[in-house]
Amino acid sequence: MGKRILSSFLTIDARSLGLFRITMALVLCGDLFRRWPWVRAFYSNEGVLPNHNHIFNLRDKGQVWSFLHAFSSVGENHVAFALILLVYLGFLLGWKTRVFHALSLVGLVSLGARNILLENQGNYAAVALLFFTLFLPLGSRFSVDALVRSYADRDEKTDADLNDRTRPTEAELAATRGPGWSPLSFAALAVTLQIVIILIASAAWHFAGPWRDGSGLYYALQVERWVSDVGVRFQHAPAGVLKGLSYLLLATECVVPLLVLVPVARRPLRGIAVGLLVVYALALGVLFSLGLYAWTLLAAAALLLPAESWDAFERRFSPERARSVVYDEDCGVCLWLARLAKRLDAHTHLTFQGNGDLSGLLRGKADGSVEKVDLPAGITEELVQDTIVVVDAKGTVFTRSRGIAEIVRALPLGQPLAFVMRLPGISNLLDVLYDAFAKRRTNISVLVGLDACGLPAPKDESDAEAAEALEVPSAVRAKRLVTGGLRDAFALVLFVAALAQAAKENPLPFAIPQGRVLAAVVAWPRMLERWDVLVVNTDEDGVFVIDGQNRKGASIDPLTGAPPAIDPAAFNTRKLGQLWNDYLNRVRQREYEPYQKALRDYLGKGGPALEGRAPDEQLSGYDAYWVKYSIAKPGESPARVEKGREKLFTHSRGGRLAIDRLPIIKPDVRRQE
Amino acid sequence: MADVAAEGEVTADAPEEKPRKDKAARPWFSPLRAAFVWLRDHYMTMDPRTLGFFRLVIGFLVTADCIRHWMDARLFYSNEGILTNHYHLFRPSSGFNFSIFHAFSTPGEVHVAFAIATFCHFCFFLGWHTRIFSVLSFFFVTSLDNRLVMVENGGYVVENLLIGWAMFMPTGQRFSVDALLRSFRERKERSSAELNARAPFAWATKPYVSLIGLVTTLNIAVIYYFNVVNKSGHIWRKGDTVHYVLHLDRMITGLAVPFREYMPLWMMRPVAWSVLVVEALLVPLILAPAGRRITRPLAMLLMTGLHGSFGVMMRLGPFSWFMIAWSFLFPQPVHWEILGRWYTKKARAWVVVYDRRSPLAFFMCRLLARLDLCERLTFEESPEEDATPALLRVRDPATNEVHDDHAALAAIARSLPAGRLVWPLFRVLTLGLSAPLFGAVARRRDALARAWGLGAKPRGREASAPPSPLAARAGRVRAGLREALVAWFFVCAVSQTLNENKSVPAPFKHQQPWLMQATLGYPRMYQGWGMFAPNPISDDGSISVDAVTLGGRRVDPFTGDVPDLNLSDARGLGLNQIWQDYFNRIRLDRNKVFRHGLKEYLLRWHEETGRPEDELVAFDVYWLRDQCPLPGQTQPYKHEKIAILTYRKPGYRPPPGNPPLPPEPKVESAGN
Repeated sequence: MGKRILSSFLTIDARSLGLFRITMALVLCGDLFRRWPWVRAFYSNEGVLPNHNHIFNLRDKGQVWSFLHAFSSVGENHVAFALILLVYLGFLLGWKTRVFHALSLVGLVSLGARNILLENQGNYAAVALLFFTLFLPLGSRFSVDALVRSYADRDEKTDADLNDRTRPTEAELAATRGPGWSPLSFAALAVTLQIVIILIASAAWHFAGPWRDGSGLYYALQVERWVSDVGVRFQHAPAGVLKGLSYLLLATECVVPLLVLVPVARRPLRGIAVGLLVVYALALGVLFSLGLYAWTLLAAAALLLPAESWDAFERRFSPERARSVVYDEDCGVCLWLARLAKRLDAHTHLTFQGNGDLSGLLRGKADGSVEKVDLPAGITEELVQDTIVVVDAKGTVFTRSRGIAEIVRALPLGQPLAFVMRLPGISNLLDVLYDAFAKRRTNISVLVGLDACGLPAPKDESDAEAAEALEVPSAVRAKRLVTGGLRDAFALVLFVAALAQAAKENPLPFAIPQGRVLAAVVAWPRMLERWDVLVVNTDEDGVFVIDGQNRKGASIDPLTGAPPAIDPAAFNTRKLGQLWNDYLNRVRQREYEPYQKALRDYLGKGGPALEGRAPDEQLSGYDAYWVKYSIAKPGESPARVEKGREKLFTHSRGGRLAIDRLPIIKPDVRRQE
Repeated sequence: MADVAAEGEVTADAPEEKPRKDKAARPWFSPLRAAFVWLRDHYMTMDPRTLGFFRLVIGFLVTADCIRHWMDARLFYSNEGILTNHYHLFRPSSGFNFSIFHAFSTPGEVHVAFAIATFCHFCFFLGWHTRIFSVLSFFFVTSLDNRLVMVENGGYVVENLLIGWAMFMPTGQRFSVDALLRSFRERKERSSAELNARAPFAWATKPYVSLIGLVTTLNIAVIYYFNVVNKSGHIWRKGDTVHYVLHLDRMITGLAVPFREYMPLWMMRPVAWSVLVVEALLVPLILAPAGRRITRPLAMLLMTGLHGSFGVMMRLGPFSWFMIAWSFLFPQPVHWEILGRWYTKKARAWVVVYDRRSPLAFFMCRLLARLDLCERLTFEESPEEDATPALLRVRDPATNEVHDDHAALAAIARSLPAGRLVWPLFRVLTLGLSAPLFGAVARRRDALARAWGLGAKPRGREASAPPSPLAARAGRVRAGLREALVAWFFVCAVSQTLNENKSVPAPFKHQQPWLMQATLGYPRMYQGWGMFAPNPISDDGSISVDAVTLGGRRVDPFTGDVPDLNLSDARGLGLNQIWQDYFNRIRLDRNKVFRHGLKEYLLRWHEETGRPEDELVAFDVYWLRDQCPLPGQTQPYKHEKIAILTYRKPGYRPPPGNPPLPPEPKVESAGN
């Protein structure tokens, strides 16, 4: 029992890891595409923080490293972004997974560390999860690596081979480390605990603020820097709804860690935890612009799926979706595709039959066995020579592209795609494509190096010797022990460092002495573990507003491209998104004063909204303000009340609005003549 | 004759080869086609053995060069040195300046970067994942150059070029870990008969046909051509070059000092002229389409002699050694055959009798069969009646001389190519314990075989399947793209050669498009060839710092001693290439902006020594220059002391008892 409990914490199912890899890679790609339009502004030397300026400002702080610091011009940074995209795609596909996983981590850390003013909790969370999972086999399922390995391990030649769905035992998996293998590793526990820490620390922050009385969501939605366009619409939702959702989010932060840590009834408890986490992440992702944070948690939910849930999912055999597939056994590419379909068919809905034997029809049953039934009347030798034939449980015969659609329908998550494939017009087009393919299938088989005819291939000796391979040589075992030990030791150090950092940065009821080494372990990859997400200061927040004037004399904010919005009711900086809002919120602070010069230079050259505009639309002067506002209590109007403005700096002729009378708060910043 | 196949490979002299299509080409096209075939056969076909050996040479050199720079990493490549990364990013030395080393700031970070770079170079040397590490080597080599362009000389450019061209060659096809692993994968011997059947792998013998062969040949010929024609000055004509060069104290090694002191002028002149003659001779020797059996080895010999003598006499960094490395692209198949025949005669033949029951012994034989390129070994199972056979036994078939185990291994090693060199190294690496180690292995042969899984029967496919038509087509497309890229680099190189060499007539000079500038500029693959041209340098110089510490000590922080402001008595300055080139460049007005970094470094010098009293309160950086002695004389003349940077700590007054600070000299120009 104890061993089972231990293993349930020290291992994560390979399917969960595979799903996490895919969702996380999609999140990373989305993050990259979100940053890409701002490559000039945030990453190049033409933007708000040239590389030399950043390194110079960090010279005494250290422990910030980004390979993007080597890239200066806009073009160079586009190349760097393209390289990162390729790395992310490699990770998404699960091709050379470990390599691309490590490179993805380097890419993500570099994107954050190149301009530390853009970072938020999303970066910390994504880096932490990516780092901990680096020690786990994320390419063990749902990956190109796994597919290639599976093709090499099981070389099906006949329909009997295809219908043999015997799964390797745990011992076989452990010995071969083939697709589906997932080790007993501390890293598995560490990544689970990291998710727990994120949620508990968030809850600790929220219990100290308005979230306790259910008004947290209301206040958070009023913060211009965070709220999304959808969130703005949600500001006017009934108070009860806001309160209910607010409590739900807080409850999720408290309940999910408990559910995750309960060692029994894993399937229902983890299922609830995953459901809550998905709702939590989606709510935050849709209502707010928090960068990577919400979407990383959404991906993290996959890691909490237990093996029991996956097994139950795979056992879900639906007789209505069961199909018998009669394929051309003389065609190499057809066999190859059948092997692919077999690997994708998690529910074992598909039963394969070569077109050489039409004495009956093979049909799969829920228990995995195969029975032979009478061949439906419409199936003739001519038909099976001309087209793929798919037969459903009722004996309905589907051919050509419709047959393919039926196969897709039988696969997990295939129904929507199958529906599209069956639509009139699309199905006709697919028929044409199918016919073209079917006509050339022999040539295509030859072209791709597959057998063009179905002469039974000689049995590979390796099959007979497969059992022998299970005996792992002791040197290999020793190597695995050493590498596994090192892996777990590093995961342990990383986890202790993360825990110490989390205890330092969050109002948690314990502290761990950090020391220089542990601090460095989390500082270099920017795992800063501060989880103050949506922690609202109701008394004061602010937005960055530029009162600029162009050469035609018109008032314009070069950040938004619209006239400067000083009135809290008219704020529009949310449209800038998380990157700009986090940057502007930081750069106005005294701590980041050395970074302001580059911003001033950048704005002097036009800013993001005036890029590429005609010369007379460029700025001739501006004033930069931090406009402060407080948030009224729920039900009061207006929701945001201006509290004052700080004039941060000015440029040339200054702005055009009458707010120029304010003194500059930093006396050393002089008007540039 | 050879036929172009996928990946630019060719099948050579295959008897079953179909008649070439070019023979049936249309008449108007056939002369062009014939010209191409001639060019291809003479300049574009490369032997895989040559490429493999070339990789070993440049892999070793590039690793050594990286370690050479690593030793000066703190001072030249970190932010505690003379040029911080942020300053260089702020004021790049050149356009198209990119270096991954710019991302590394502290000495610790820079050491990590050097460790990664060295690892990549070493993997390239070994030929493990050769293509990937070839590209990474190129990336790190050019990055290192771009990080501190001030110390670049012609050698760096040659290194960039050579490692760049190597990316387009299949250098891992022979003498590499990749080739070894591939051979293990594709040939799974099961008996002594199979061990003795040594049919070469097709991929290991196919000549490589690519435009890169022509490019590298032309490039090295162009280097020598311009090195000759650009040396048009009177000193070269008079033959005084060797005299002047040997008196460049900042550049010479200790070996050059006795030469300049004892070699009479009448002897130096023929040496100087012979340099010109050799360089001029090398052009036809390299390009000769016929008689290459003689011309190519002769060119190798001359290049090794010429650059070897430069290399041991002067501190030119990578120049000499990479020029010699370039010559390792010259060997033709005939040379390998001659070498093979010579070694076959020289090396002793052995019958290797291995323990028939031991998988470990069989594995060792499989390895030996792959290393035995001259086929001096024949394998034989131990007799069945022998209950306790030696793990390995060798028997001379002629004399029946027999050695067992470690002695057998030693005998085998000496019969393998390069075994005579590797065996002593192996002995050193095993601390002389190779015999007891081998004994222990022999005693535990079964346990070790089980531990490494050697007992399992070989599985998997016997040989690599021929590529599918689609894969072959994709291979041809890849080869085509690669050739197009090489062609583009070739065009860029030609353009750069015309623009950069002074002896090219003005009408040939032209404006390069942006893409061409970027192609050449980022990897710094330039083509200006005029070392010591039109005349050798006749003035010598170096940097000396006259600094005063807080404690009142006068010191040169670069030496840690009392400043030496007179170089006329120097017998070589003992500076390595990085130091001497840095000193020589920082004095120039065009590098004035980088003196800021030098000043910052000197102001932090006490942090390096760890003694607060070493803080510099005043310093004057001098370029000390003198003219090399005139021919026939031994003493330099016209000694000058030019201040290029000065500093006095604001408000500092020496404490009582300490001498006053020296007056601040006027900063002047020490060259442009």
